[in-house]
Amino acid sequence: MSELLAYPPYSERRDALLLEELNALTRHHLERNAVYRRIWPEWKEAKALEEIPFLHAGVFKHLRLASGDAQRARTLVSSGTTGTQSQVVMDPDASRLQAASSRAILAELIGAEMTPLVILDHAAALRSRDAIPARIAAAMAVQPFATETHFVLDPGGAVDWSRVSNAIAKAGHIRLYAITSLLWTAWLETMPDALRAELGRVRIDFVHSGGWKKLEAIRVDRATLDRALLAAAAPGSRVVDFYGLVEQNGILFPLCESGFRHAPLWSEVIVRDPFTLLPTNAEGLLQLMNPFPRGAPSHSVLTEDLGRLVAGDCPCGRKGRRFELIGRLPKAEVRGCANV
Amino acid sequence: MSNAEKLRQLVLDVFLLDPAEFRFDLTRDAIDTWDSLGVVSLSVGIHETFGYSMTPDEAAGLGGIGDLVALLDRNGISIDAQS
Repeated sequence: MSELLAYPPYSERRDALLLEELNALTRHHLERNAVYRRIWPEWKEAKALEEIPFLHAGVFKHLRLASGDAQRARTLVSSGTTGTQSQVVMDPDASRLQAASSRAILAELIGAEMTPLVILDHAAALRSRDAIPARIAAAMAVQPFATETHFVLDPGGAVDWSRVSNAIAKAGHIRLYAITSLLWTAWLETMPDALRAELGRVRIDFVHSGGWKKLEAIRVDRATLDRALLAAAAPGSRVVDFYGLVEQNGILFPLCESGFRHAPLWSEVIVRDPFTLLPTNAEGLLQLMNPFPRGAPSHSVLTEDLGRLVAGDCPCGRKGRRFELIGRLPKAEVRGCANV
Repeated sequence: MSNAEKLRQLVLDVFLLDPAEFRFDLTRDAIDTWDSLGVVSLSVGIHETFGYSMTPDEAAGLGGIGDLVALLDRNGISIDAQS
């Protein structure tokens, strides 16, 4: 359990409590994970969040680090088709906390109303014995608000528009999750005109995550994507873009209307200088932390993403930590859809 | 394939069980992988396999495979748990 989940995600920070929970979690992994213990043999309880030990995200591409019995634990994998996939071992207790976290974050953004959910993916991916793609885990963040869930990709990877039509048949309001590039290429470019007209009466909360590389290559920017999505849906529709990592499942960093990413109070974002790895207020590597992962020591991860903390109150009204996501560290391995 | 066999296969897949572990009286507490992903996967699988959409409350309220069989039965999908 995490006491922090009792508070609204963007209320006043409670860093002393977060530090306590992260110290306890570090101890949990040190006691159960020999590899982690070898990496951090001299660990002493952290007195500040910056002192919580971290693992570089690249470690999860090479090692399946399990803190406990991983025999039948689910494993999340980054979904990239290029590069090496990251593997993160899940734990049932952590899974419940992660689901509660993403539910609280999304409720703040799109409300808690229950609606049908359309997912641009295959249901079969949920039942993979080997590993669950991170994009499915990302889609599952929206699922707690679903009266029914419709996976609408056919086996060839194209949208089965008849399934979309079924999903909206009786609905005036739906939620839709897709990885960012699919929203454009599968949803917008190939949608039949008849369905486009039908969708015009449906309010849609579009929730998406993932990299922009494919869209940048065809010169589609965020404003163009948002405009196209909202043009094909009823007034009151919304677009929510969130950033996250497979290693930090359950923690979503949505882009607010003022253009910043916000960290819920049960997570921490530290920016580290790429050369010295010391905390900095300038642009640097993002280190992400949260007190939930118990299956693998991914509670404190140094990412390959560049960002910058932003001081002061956000015009959007959310309190707590906010940052700008700048992009990947040059020469970092391409991770495809890993950024959920 | 009988409905019982379809349900058995679905439960094995969703909860990553070995075939020898399956029983129709398995409870939720006895299945480590009956987590939030498992619940979603089960709901979607039931819809795809039997055409029945469980409500979120129904899915969250299941105490085990027996409850699932009873729920399907109440909705006109007969599972012969003896087969």
